[in-house]
Amino acid sequence: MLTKKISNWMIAGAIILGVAALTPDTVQAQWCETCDSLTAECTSDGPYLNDSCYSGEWGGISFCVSWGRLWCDPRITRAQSTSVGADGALVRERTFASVTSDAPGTPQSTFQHVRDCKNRIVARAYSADEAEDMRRRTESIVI
Amino acid sequence: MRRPRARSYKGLIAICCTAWIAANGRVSAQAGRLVLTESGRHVMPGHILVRGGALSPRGDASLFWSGDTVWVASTRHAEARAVCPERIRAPLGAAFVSTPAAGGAPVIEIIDGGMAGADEPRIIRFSDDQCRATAWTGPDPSLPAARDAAGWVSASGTDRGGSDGIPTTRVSLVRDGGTPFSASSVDLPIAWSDSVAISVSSGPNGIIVSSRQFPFAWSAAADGSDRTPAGRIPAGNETYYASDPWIGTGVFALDSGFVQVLADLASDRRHLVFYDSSGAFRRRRVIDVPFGILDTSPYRRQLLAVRRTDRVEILTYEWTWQPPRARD
Repeated sequence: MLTKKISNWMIAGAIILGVAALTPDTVQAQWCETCDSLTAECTSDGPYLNDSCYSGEWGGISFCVSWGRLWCDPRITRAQSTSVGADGALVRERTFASVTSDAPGTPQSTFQHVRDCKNRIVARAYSADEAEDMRRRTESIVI
Repeated sequence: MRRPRARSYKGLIAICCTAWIAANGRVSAQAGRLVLTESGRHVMPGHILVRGGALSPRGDASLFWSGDTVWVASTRHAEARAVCPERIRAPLGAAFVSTPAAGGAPVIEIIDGGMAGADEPRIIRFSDDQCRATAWTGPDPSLPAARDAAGWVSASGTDRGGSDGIPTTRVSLVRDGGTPFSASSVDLPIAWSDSVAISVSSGPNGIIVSSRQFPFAWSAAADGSDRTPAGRIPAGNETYYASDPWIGTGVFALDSGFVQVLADLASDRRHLVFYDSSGAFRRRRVIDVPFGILDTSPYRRQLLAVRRTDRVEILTYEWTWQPPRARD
């Protein structure tokens, strides 16, 4: 009896996990569709302008980033995976990271990354504790 | 009364011998685990995007470059200095050509693409604190290139179609003078897209060509030799690597086997994959740190890497082989 209950719970858990795994793509698409409204919020006196949002221009393309929000631009596609640095991160990540380092409200943000429509990280910031932990974890690596 | 103590000394000696053997590499890669231990670091500002790097033949210096600057760093000095900053515009590759006697300045070559539409691509050679530029005579300088003892080797691909639904790309390796690198070609089980679909690195026995997309196939092309190990991530992992935008950032030679880094563009996750000397996939290690390998020196058991957190760090690792655990 107990075994059957555990088995049922395992099946239910697997279904929940499966749904959770499928959800991000749907969410991504919705975010991309509503990206214009986010841009409007950033470029005007939107509610996020003085919070953790920043707008600007990169490579002639206007962009809008908001820490913890998705930044959507249909021109970023997987085919552009070419622009990857030796550390395995997108090239534009550094551009955004340096640009947004002066963004108003950034120091207060606790969720410091920006993603594109493919869920790829385009900007990332780490706390001193996070960075130190990463250094400690890679002082010795066993493969 | 003394007999037990004698036995314990024997045990201690056995343990010491085992440790010494492991530390000195008698444990082979096939049997043991690769242990990387950080031995040096150069800290750079966080906004720098490192595109590549190289170890000096003597292991006492390293090179690394971004989109507009090449730096050289000595293991004896904490600071890295820019190489030929007044000449370099867009470095596409850099390598130590040779290192003179201890204490002397290294000789460095850099492929410089120049400013788009304004400059011709050139080779800039740094020697005796002088920077000399000569015209680049190789193929398109934006092709992935690596340097061996004889000169630069560039890689380009041709779509060969595919049989049984498996696409094939034939990779051509050409020396900067235009001569083929080796008589045999390198075929990778990928659909050809463009030059950035592949990476190249130099190994002790030739050039290693690797695909940046699943199955992250690679092949070591030996100059004048038939021994060409090749590897790939085993079939069955496609769903995992396809679900997120994964990319391969290169394959590098060890003294016994090869190591490959796979990066998840959607997270900080990196897979360090170990292949044995025949190219057979053996195991992988997962780390959640933006980390990449730039170069290896199998003879010196040194590895050059980059780690990016709140700053960029160029790291030197020494490696040893650890005896396998019972469950390995």
